[in-house]
Formats: sequence, C-alpha cells, structure tokens
Amino acid sequence: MTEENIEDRLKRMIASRLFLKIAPEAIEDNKSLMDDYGVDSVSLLELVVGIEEEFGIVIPDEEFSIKHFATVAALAAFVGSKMTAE
Amino acid sequence: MEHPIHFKVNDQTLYGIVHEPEPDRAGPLVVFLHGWAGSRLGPHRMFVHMARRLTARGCVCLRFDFRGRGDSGGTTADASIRSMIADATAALDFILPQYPERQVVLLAICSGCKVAIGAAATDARVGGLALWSPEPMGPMRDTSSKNRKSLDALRTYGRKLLRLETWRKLLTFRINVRMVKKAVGAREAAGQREIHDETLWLNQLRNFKGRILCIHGTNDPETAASKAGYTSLCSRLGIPQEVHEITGANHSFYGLDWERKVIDLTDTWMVSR
Amino acid sequence: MSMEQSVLIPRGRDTLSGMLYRPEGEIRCGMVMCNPLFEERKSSHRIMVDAARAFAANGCAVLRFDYCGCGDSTGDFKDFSCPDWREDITHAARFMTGQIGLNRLGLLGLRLGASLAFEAAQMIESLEFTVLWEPIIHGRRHFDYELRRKLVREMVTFGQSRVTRATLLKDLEDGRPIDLDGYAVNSRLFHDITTIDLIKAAAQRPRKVLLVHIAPSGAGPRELSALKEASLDGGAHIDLISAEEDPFWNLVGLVECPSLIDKTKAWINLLTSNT
Repeated sequence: MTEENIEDRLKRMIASRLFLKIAPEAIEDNKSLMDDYGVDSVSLLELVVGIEEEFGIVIPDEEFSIKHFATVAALAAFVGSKMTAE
Repeated sequence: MEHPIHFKVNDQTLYGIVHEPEPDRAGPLVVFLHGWAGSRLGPHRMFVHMARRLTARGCVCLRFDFRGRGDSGGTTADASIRSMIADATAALDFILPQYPERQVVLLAICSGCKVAIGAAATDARVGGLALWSPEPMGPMRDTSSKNRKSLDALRTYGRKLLRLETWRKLLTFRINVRMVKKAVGAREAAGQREIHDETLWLNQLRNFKGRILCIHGTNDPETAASKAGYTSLCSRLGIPQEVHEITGANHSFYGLDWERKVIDLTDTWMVSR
Repeated sequence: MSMEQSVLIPRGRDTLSGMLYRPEGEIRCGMVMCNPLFEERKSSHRIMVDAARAFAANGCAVLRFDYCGCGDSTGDFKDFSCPDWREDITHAARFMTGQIGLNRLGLLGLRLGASLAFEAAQMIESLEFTVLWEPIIHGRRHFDYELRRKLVREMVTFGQSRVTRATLLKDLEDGRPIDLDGYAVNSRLFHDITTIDLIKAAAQRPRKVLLVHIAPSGAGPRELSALKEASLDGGAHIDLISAEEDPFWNLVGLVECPSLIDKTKAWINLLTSNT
C-alpha cells in the first residue's frame, strides 16, 4: 500500500472519528493536527484506537510520541512504517 | 459541614455547595470559579479537596456551577465570560449576607480566572484572588492562543450546528442557512468582543486592593505568556503577587502530586493573608 | 417542566450528594441515574442533566447522585471500589422509592455506571427496569483503554509517554497504587474493574432491560448483541437499540444527544403505559 492511500484513509478517519465535521480532502498534509485542527488529548486517544482498527497495526506504548501525531504526513509515515514491519 | 444551596440569576437557578467550618473559626470566604468546560467539582475533584482543606482551617467555601454548566439552569451555548461574571457577582450577593465579617477570596482555574479578574475589577467586595492556570487575557494573548480558542469555539459550536441531523434538515430546507452562518459568525465576533472586554477588566484592576496568587504548570503551553503578562500587570498596578510554577504540570494539573502541590501552596497563601 | 431539588442521602458514616427531578404532574415511575467514572463522569455531566430534565418533564422522576468518594459525596476516591458503589446504587434506589411513594423504579447507567447498574439491579428486589447506555461489558478492556488515555495525556504534556501500560499494571499487580491523571487507583479498584464481565453476570431473573449502543454511525453493537443473548438465556426481556450520537463521555464542550434521550424516553413510556 502506498503512502498516498494511507493519507487519504487517515484523513477520512480523522474527519469522522474526531468529529471535526470537515471534508477529509480539506485536511492538509503538513498542517498541525493540534494547532490548526484543534485535536486534543481526548481526541488523540480516539485517533490511536481508530488507527489500530483501520490499519490492523498495534502502536506500542514506547512509541507514543507527539512527533508521530504532529501532522497527517508524519502520521502516514509512522503508520506506513508499522505496516511494513508487521 | 457541607450543604447544598441554590440562588437565582435572571430566572435561572444555579446550584452549589457551601462548606462551613466549626463554629467560631475565622477565615476568609472563598468562592470557587470553575473553567469553561468544568463544574463546581474542578478537574478530578480538585475543588472539593481544596474546599475541604480550607474549611478545616476555618474558611467558609462556596462552590457553584455557572449557568449552562454542571447542575445549573441555562444553556451552555448562551454562556460567556460576561455571563459568568454576573453569576459570580450573584454568588457573592447570595453568600456574603450570611458571613458579612469575612473577607472574600475568589479561587479560580483556567478561564474561571478571567471571571475572577473581571469580578475583582468591578466589585470592591473581592479582597483576594487565587488563580490556578490563569489564561492570557486581552493584550497578553499571543496568536497561537487566539487560534486555539477560536478553533475550540468553532469546534464546539460547529458540532452543534453541523450535526448530521442539521445537515438532513438543511437538505430538506428545514433550516435557515442564513441563520446558521450568522450564528457561527456571531461566535467569531464574540471572540473579538471578549478581547476588548478583557483589556478593559485588566485596566480596571487598578481598583483592586487585595493580593493575587498565581500558580502555573511548566508544561502548560499558556504559562510563558500568562506568567509574564500577570507579573507585568501586578507590577504596573502595584498589586502584591505571589507566583509559583509546578514542575511538569499540565494545564489542569492532571496528577496527584501536582494537585497536592497546588493545594498546599494555596492553603499556605490563604493562611498567610 | 419539573421541580429540581438538591438532596443528601445518608449512607452509614457517609453521605451521598444528589439532585432530584420531580415531575410537576403525575409521577409514572422513578429512575436512578448511575454515572460513569474518571474523566467520563466530567464529560458526560451535562448530558446526564439534560436527560434527567427530559425524563422528568415526561413523568419519570429522576435521582442523579454521586458515589462515595466521587463528586460532592463524602469520602476519598481511593477508599472505595465497585462493591461500595453498587451498594450506593441500592441506597439511592431505596431513597428514591421513599421519595416518590411508588414501586415503579428503574436504573439508568452510562458506561461503567451502566455496568454497576446492571450488577446492582440484581440486589434491588422491586426494580422494574434497567437502561444501559453503552455499558462496559469487559472491565479489563476498558481499564486498558483508561491506561491508554493516561499515556496519550502524557504524550501531549511531555512530548512522549513516560510510562507504559506494562509498568502501570505491574505496579497494580504488586499492590502499589497508580496515579490515573489525578485519580488514585489501587489494586482493589483495579481488580474490581478488570473482573467486570457482564456476559458472565447476565441477569438471573426476568427483567426489562434496554440496551443502547451509542455511536456516530455505522458499526453495529456486536458486544451488546452478545450481552443481549446471554441475558435472554437468563429469562430477561431485552430490547437492543442504537442511538446515532457522538461518544459524549469523551468530548469537551457543547454536546447534545436528542436521539439518545428521545429513544430512551419512548421505551420508558411504552413500558409504563403497558402495565
């Protein structure tokens, strides 16, 4: 699976699961999920659970690092690396 | 002894709890002001723990829910810092006649601190402010804080206005689109009005004759702007201020050790008055 | 419209703090609402208030209350656990029966509050119905979710989580309490939450139960279907419905749940008008 596909799936999931109620395609790859889209610690938990369900991966506790969740692009790279590893 | 109370603001009933000390114990009257999304319990019951500690020292404590929050009447959508200041004033009108000899301290967290400042600026009965994680106000606000606030407002308002049910109604022309846009626009305009009000209250704080305690968490993204802003303000207005930072703490002190430190510091400050 | 009144319920050496919502006209039934725990209690507070007002306006008296060690009730959180809170529910139910003078009583619980209500229902002889909003079926899985909430909050605060679920669980299993974001969780509470298994504890005698799956859209209520099946085996009368709402117990800010409240009201109306 290419990174581009992962990003589109992430955007669809972010828009619906995080209740942002904006069009997935309006979410920009390199904008801050927290500063620009208002994602907070409560919604981040939903995002973690959603990513594991959507992509069939496990995010180990040791890899709970804010840099992986900074932007859609960073998240896609992280998810891609987990999918390759598993 | 703790007992429930209620009082009215504009035909809405606000509910709260009064904590009374043993008879003949002296101490301030402390009124607790919760944050925007909170209640009279405070984060992880922090207000309850603080009130019980202060009451053991002889303070009278009043914790109440602002209109539209907790158990109180009214709607969240209609709330504003202005309406919360009106609620705080009504709380003082209700409780002070029962304890006329006690000095009033407002103890607040997060956006409750804006309410405390606004009330202290305009109400000579307020003799002290204990501010936990005070947020930058007026000219103290930096751009990222402004963006976060308007995103929060848009998200919470947007959630109401952009529910699936709302879109279903939109599609069947059962909603006035102009009114929806006006409501969202009104929220953004309200943000500008708030900044103007906050600047006014900060200037009016020159009328405040008491002391201020500020407690910040070092991992609260607002601490840098807030600490600098309030220190500068107190210095400019000649208000005695005590400032503490809790190492590692986040905005609502989500940790037992952090909570304990905040309560200890506030307790000590209250006693030293 | 209804009348609202703060109440204090004696509970041995402790006192439970609550709010009573009394219909203006005829009282058709009474209901005790059982809160979730930890941050979910805070986030869901206003919806529970809105629901209580809606039910009372519809003829159902409602008691909302705080468990010992929670909310405005007396006691420290660390000194109580699930068996105490189930007892609190029975005390609240007895108080409510005395208040409304009727034997038509139900429980309504949300998340862990629903799990506690489900088990407490078996301790209340005269209980007529139970409403379970998105109950926690398996406590272990839910506790794991709460631990992850702590890790996420640490990540936001420090940039990286400083602990792992494994280290937190080891502390608990070795008898050391942990700090769950300002809530002191000890081994007893850990054990009591993680041993919750509603499917194994399915009601032994006939009850009228409304199970409500709450989700924004889509996913079906698989776990609740399993609970329904297990409860039917015990002779209960179970209705399972879905309410298309955001998980408000995890949200901060302006939230409304008209579908959830309306569907629950309709079920209670049908129940109390048929008998």
